[in-house]
Amino acid sequence: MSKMVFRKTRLEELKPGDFKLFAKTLSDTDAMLYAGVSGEMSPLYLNESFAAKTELKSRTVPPMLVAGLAGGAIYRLLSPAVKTESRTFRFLRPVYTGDTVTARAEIKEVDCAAGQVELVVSCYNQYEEKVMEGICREVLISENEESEG
Amino acid sequence: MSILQLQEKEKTVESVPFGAKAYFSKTITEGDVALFAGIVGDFAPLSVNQEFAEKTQFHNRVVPNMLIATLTWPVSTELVSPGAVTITQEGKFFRPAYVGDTITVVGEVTEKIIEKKIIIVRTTCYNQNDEIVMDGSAVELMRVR
Repeated sequence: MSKMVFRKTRLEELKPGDFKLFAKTLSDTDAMLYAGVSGEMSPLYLNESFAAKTELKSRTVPPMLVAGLAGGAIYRLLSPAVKTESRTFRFLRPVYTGDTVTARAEIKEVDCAAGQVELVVSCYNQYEEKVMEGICREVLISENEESEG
Repeated sequence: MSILQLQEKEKTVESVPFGAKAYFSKTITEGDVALFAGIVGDFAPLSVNQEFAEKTQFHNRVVPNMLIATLTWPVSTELVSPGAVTITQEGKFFRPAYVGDTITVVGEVTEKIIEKKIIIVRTTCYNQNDEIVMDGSAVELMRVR
């Protein structure tokens, strides 16, 4: 129990422009498992013959899966834990199965007194085209020993 | 053109009625949280480490917010798909959800901008005690094909 050690982000040490990355190749398995977890069964993600007839030309990865990768980057930037106030995402381009997406979370503003952090998140595909951008407002939290919580 | 009709007619900004509602409910299981962490690579201890989570203000493992947010997509899909692509998703999170909670999402078409082919779906997530967990909206562009 006491052996558990988590890297703790110190808000005072964060400054605007600090960032962390997380990259992952989004496989077909990811997309299918995601459909099961989320219940999102749009033919754009699951039906190849439907998707082939649209302007997207092929099945795409659910955009929220791409947005989820931002969570991976945020966790690497603000650890051990955050309480989310709000997240907003804009989806700029489709992501296809097999694409490698790099999520980037960057500090925009830190309010040390309130423990609040505003982040700019963005995701890029392997051609370095931006596929998603967003703003996240998070509050850094910790175990009860360190904060009154 | 085959006689069998195997594809639904695509929806348009005109064909989706203003005020249309859809619902989706799901109990969030242990398996959902584990799969989600693996798929998106977010192993935040607040969601995957019971010992850690017990020591925080939440006292238990919390379902990742992005998993809650993604549950709003089935209702948008029911309301506007096929025919739409989502361009913006936003959400405010009011209280944590725990493994075993049943989340009910209510989606409603609250705005139609016909000339821009845009439909705005408001999505609100409640837990089994009718408390609001998340409130947000999705901007759907009716443009596929």
